[in-house]
Amino acid sequence: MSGRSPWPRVLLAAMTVLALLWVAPLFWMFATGVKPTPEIFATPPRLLPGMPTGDHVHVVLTRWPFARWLLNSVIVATATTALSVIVSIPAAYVFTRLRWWGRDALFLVFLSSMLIPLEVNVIPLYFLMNRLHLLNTYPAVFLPMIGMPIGIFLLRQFFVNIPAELDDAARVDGCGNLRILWHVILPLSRPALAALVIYMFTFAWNEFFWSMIALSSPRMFTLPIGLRALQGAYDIDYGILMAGASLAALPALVLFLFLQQSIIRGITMTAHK
Amino acid sequence: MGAEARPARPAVRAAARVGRRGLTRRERRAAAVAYAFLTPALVLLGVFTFYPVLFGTALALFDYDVISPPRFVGLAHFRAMAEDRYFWIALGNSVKFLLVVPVLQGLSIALAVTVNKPVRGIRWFRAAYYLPVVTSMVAVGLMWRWLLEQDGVVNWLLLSIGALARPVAWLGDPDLALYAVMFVTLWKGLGFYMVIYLVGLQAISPEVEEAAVVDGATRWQVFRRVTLPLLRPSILLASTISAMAALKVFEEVYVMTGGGPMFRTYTMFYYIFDRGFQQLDMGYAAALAVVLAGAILALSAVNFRIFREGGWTYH
Repeated sequence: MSGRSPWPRVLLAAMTVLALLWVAPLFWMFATGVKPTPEIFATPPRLLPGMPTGDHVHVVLTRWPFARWLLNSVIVATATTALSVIVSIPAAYVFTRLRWWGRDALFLVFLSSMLIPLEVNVIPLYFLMNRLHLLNTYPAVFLPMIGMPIGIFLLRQFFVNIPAELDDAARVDGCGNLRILWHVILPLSRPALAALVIYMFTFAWNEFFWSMIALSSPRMFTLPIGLRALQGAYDIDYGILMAGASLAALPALVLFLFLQQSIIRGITMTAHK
Repeated sequence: MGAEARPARPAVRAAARVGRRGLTRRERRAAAVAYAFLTPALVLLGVFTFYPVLFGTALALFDYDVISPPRFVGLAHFRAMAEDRYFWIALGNSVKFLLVVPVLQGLSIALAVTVNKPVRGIRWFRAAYYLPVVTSMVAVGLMWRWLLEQDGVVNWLLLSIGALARPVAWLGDPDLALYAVMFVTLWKGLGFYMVIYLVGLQAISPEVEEAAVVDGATRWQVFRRVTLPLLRPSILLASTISAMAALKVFEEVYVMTGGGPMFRTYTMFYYIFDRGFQQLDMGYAAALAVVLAGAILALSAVNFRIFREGGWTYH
């Protein structure tokens, strides 16, 4: 329990098997996507494709606006992440560094809104976006997501632990709130900001239900919605479906494996005081 | 006494006046800064969360099919639910889906404690469980539908090691489909909750656990009596998120079973989607959403009672 002893051999074996169980399905998805159709349904199943083919990938990329879906996903996820960070930082600042009338009551309001998931609001949001003439646009998808208070909470948890003496010292030196935020708080909060960026990006990248309601024109689809359209078109043609799923999953997986050291560290470091 | 008190009074009053005025100005300034900094967040929260809640609750009292103007029906939708067998089926399945929460949280805690060690290559283990988290549920759902097909690789594996006598239609068998979908939820979510618990574990100083070991506690005792109680804030957070996700489960079902077979995986949110966006019965769908939101709030309140400070004792 002390975290000092390495794993006994049995545990290492068990953990290896479990980790493989978590990775193997993804491997199978990628393998299926590049197998010629007869190999896909061969018994016994072939672990690796005997004659890898790009046919399924070709179908997905040429018959469907897949590149456009990718672009849409990148735009939506980037906008959601950037705006959410910009909105959450000053909010978390005033909730932790300043005392003012109504603070605790207002914080409760934000806190209670955490219990209202986006999905519960889809019907009124649909009418609201319709009224604003925003259906089928990027803002329709990202505006409700940047309204989620999760970012404020994540940052607040971190800001709370930054000693108040640092603010006081800066104030004595004549710094205003903006400069304290920019020069004192933010440089110390990189792990929390990293965690927020990762959380929001993943959330927006994978968001499905509201996007499906807000986007009806195929050229505006994000990747998950496009993938669902593929399912509607090919049903159990698993070569094409797995090629599409692989292509949709690949950018996030590559990015994750590329950044994984800093990602997991960034997330776990938010608890350090 | 009187002579002492008299000269003090004006001084006190003056001090109070200066103090009040000074404080008020500073307070006013702080409040002005605070509300200025909060404006974007407040506007977004108001427009895209609270306004929809009010609007949705009001809509639940109307009949609205998008084409003809809304007609006020009062609480008729809520009364109609009592007789609506699809409502009870959907609610039942969503509640059953909550079974995934304790299993998922237990496994995530066990996993987090296990990988919270400086073993060589540990980051690859952590990464393995996190890969499904960064993959969209649609991709994951399609993938598992393929793996769980009757002639899929899961059946082949289980048949070849002798765990099954004949292939099982995991997603087609009315008695199994919901559990198969729950397994996929678990598979996708494990890494996410593992990280929440890793964060919680890092906030526990090793000295506390070491002190317990010095006092002669076994590993299990340290875990039960020290680690687990100290993890309570993480458990509260993770189980609240997980229970909310279970009650509003949709994507897994939509992609893998379409609510079938025989409505056995038909969930509350699926019903809201069908009634609202397929049948354009927006008033009734809004009423269903109100019920779902109520269930989420009630469950979160219970959860908070169990896991808040002092609400869960071991001794």
